[in-house]
Amino acid sequence: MNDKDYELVSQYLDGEMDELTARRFEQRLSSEPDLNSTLSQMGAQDQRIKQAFVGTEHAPEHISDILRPITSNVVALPKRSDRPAWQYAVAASLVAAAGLLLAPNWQESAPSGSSLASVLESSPSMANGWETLSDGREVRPVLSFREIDGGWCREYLMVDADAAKRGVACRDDGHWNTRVLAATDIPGDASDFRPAGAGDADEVASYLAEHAADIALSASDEQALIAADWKH
Amino acid sequence: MPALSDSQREAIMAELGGLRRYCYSLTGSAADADDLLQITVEKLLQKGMPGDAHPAKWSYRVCKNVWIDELRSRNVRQRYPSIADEDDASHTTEEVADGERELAAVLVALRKLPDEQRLTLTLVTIEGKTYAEAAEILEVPVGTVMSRIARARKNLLQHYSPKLIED
Repeated sequence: MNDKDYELVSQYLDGEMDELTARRFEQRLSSEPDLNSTLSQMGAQDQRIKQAFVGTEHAPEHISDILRPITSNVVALPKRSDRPAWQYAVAASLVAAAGLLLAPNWQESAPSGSSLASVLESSPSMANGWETLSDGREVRPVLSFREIDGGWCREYLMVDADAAKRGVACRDDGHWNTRVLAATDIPGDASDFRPAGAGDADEVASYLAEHAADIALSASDEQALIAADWKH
Repeated sequence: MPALSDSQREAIMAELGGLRRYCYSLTGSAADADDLLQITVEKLLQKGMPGDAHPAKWSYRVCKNVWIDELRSRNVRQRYPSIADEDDASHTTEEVADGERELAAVLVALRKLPDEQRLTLTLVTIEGKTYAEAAEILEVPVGTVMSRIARARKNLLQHYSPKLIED
């Protein structure tokens, strides 16, 4: 059993396999006891997981009450002073905000080879992976959002000679200008989580809290915006 | 973004049960599940939803983001699963006890998975989302969903929950 086999078993269990592949897989099942056994075990495991959560789907009344259409029921929401959740994400992912490097003069021309600007202009946000710039630095766009004044901005990670930075750049008349840039740890994976700690004091998180007009764009909205050259 | 329309509110209400179950699978306790669900609903109401957004996918995505960003930062998930308040009068005491033990065992196993695997496995296995739906909710490619699911099942099978397959 290799990783591909486990993926095939999963696809088969989830009904995510096309007919031809499923037929070939079923042929293998009859001649490969290990594969067959894994399928049975994973199927049983799935059933037990599903069964265990039966009965946990009852939402409290007070929560459904606040969702009921306004026309039929008006319930005041308790005030929360929390910042939007995605800003916590930024705060939470930052460990070291020391050495804030503001780069007011750092203006990159829009697309020309592998520059930071060209990546921000045309690459979708990624949970992992990097884009290599022509100067060797590596960049990962993390999210896109609209600024309060209506412009578009992107948060990104950058690795330069083993130093990692997290920044926000905004698009001004076709140019991407970095608004804030701070030293950070490199998230090894989208799942990596770092306690917020002093994140609230972080300059990038603060910038987002003060300048973001809304939550981050969805992948599809971002895709559409990139396709429209950020002209929505 | 506009406030939720009546039809969006109704669509989310129809998803509320699944969302609560998802919250439970992520947080591991009834109290934290309710907390996560309430914050999710409040976010939805405060931030609204694009007119062309799919209410179910959007709601799950918001829920996932809230969980990752907010509850985890408070270490809510570190609490040991408390399932005593999951009583259901329609079940006998023995059934409830068996159910609680089973749920606790599954939660312990799921908790040991890397978070991205748990987020994906619960969406597909418990919530019945397709890979494409899970990919939209988690904002990752379908191929990533596929590999995370496979790794999650393999991990559970080989390392974390051998008992789950014994019966």
